[in-house]
Amino acid sequence: MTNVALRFSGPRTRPGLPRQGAARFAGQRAVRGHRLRSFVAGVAGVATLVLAVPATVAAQSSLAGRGLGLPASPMDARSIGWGGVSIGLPSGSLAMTDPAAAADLTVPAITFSFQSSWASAVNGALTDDFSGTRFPVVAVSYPSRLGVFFIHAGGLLDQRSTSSVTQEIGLEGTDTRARVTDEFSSDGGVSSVRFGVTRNVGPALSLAVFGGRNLGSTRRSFRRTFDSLDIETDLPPFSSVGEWKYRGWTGGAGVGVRFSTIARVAASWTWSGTVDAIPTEDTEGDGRSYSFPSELRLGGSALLAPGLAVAASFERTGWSTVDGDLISARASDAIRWGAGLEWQALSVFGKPSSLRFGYRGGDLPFHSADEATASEGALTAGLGIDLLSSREVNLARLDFGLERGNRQLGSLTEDFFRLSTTIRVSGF
Amino acid sequence: MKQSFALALVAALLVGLTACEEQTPSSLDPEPIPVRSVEVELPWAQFGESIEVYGGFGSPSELGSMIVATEFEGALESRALVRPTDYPLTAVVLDSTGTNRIDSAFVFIAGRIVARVDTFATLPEAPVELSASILDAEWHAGSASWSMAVDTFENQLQWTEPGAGPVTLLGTAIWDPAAGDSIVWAIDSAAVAAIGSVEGSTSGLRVDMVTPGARLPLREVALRLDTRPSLNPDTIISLDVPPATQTFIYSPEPAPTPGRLRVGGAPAWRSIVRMNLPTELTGPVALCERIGCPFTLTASALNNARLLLTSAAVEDGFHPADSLFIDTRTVLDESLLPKSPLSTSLSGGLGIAVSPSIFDGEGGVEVSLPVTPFIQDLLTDDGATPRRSLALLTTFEPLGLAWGSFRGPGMVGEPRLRLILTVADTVVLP
Repeated sequence: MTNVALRFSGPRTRPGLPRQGAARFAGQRAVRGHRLRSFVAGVAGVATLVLAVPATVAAQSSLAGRGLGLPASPMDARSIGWGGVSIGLPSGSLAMTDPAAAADLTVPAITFSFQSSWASAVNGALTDDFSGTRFPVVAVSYPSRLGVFFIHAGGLLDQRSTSSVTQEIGLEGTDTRARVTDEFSSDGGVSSVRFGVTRNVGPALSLAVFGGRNLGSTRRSFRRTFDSLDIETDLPPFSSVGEWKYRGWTGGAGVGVRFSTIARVAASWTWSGTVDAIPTEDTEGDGRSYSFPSELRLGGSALLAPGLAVAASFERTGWSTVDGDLISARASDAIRWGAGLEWQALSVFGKPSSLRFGYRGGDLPFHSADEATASEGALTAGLGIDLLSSREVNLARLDFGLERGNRQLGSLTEDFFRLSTTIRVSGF
Repeated sequence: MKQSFALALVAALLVGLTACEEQTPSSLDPEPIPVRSVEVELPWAQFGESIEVYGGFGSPSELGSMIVATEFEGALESRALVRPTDYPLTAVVLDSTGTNRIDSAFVFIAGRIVARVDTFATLPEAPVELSASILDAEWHAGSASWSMAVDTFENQLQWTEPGAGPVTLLGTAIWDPAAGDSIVWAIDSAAVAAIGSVEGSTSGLRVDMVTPGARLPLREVALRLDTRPSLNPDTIISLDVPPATQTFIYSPEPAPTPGRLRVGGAPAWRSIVRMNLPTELTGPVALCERIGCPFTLTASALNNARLLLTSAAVEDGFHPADSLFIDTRTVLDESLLPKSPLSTSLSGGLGIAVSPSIFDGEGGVEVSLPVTPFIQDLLTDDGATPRRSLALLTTFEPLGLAWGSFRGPGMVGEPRLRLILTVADTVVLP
């Protein structure tokens, strides 16, 4: 049985593609019909999940209230466990951050991830503990003669946060004093849905192109609740609410190069056009447009010894393009990097498994005018289990990624622990 | 494979589920938009249009008690009228053999009139004397008043003498607050026959307060008749005759004082306050100084609205002895006033409890009534004709003989409208 995680293989002949007789061709058509139906079902499933993404994304940081939110890198658990290496890992995966990696998938595949996080923030004397679950990425692929077609859906920005202040105020114009709780909450985010194709060009090179939409919504509300008042105990709260929908185009390309069976390097470039925030009918606040940035990723992996591989990646997102569009925050370019090792000498449930370790670091783009950029770093670990393989095709796979990290912005320190799980099923 | 896959997946899900209880993190921006809360008090001229007082809602017969009084607070005369049910036709009698049998040939030999005092109400502290009499004329419990025995749409009949007279006096009795809650008049067989019969009662009974300056609420006036059964003549059996209808009549019936609001009484009074609240305020000065004028008044900016009333002196005899519960409701169709349907309560289940002491002397105590939903409806521009009239009434009608009185427009302590407004910038994108 071959472990996909350590396989640096060239393009593989898809079984059944050579035409060797009418009967076999008819059988292939039947198989294709079945695959097509499965693919359609997979697409429908992904579409359902995509629609659910904006509603299910839960905030993962106190910094989600800064600027356009917290960038939510749409990595799967394999990348997360391997030091947050988002691109350049051994091919045969359905990573949204590495579109060319799907070129070697010979059977239809679907993958989805869910991520649970627990965090504790300290800002001076204030502390806050919170937790949440989100679905960072969903993807489906379907191989054809033209290449491997894929759909990726993943989160880009998490905008869910709340701030609450309880204070006693004087009602202006009188001597009456009232205790009020002012709560500002932001709920929503931006996700991306991309459709693309990737294929091998020659024995070492794979190329990918994709296009899609940046979508999402945000609901921002202010609510003042009168907790108690001398003149009355039951006072309805004051509230002001605005809701906007995000719409924008995105596209990009990816490339991967294999060096025999020992190494692979890859790069991707993602372009995003202006994302328009369109107010709903009942919203008083104006709409705005944000010049979303381009994103460049570069990474690679190499086999150091039998069963031991190393990987590293670097990415830069030009968030400074949105700086002029923001009213209450500043935006700076953000750099992220990660590196890690994978050791394939483990057996879990009697299945070939891989153990991963790594570290990732980087900047967060949004901050106020008088603040430096926020930084983020995390130690990572991961476990991948090949649950089922047939010949050289991996049919079911389960990956876990653990992160123990820290975010820093001025006096705020935020420690987090995050568990990511990715399930991939192929050949359906 | 399936077992190991399921096991691994379940383990992952169980760990993940522990984070499924979403706890949204706190942002670092405590005051993302400027917000101010102000309290303003609008004088009557700035929000009020007119006040009408309507009476005649309900009847004293619907109250749970009857008031008897004479020269109370130097003015009030009030008498209880009771019509007993038909006397019983049969009685269960234990005969000489010890067997219960039904006897329909018994004879009424005497009885008692028993009045029970409403001990939940405020009572006289000293003994008082009451009288019981037999009425001489037919009357209608739902419409009887001091001057009219019957006052229905189809039939009007005056008393021969105002105050349900003339009557045949049966006797007087003393009620001592320390002795209990019952007043008893003993009556002979002739009186029993005069009050009623098995074929139907006559005109009934009238109970008067004899002691000048006293006022007493009665819960019920009933008969207890002594009978000698034909099956066992050596035995006396007492039979209860409860009241069929009961009410009370009183005098005087003061008309509302012009310019004042009145709430309560039996039949009940309602005050209808018609408002003409502008959507743009150019005052008062405090508002203009702090927020700026003209100020556009919107439903979303309104946190709280209360109508402030100042208590006024109540006419002698009708001063509340217990708490008055005042309700506020929106008049749903002004064209149907005074019989317009009203909205549900704006004040909650029991209304606003007002102490009777605020009506002592000339009053002058401020009462605050919640009207937030009413004002919000006024300010909501949904295309419908706004309902501008607000009804002030007691929570139940009638609630009692007494009423509350409040100062009207143009008087010191005229109605005012207190608003708590919150003004904030519009929520915008970052």
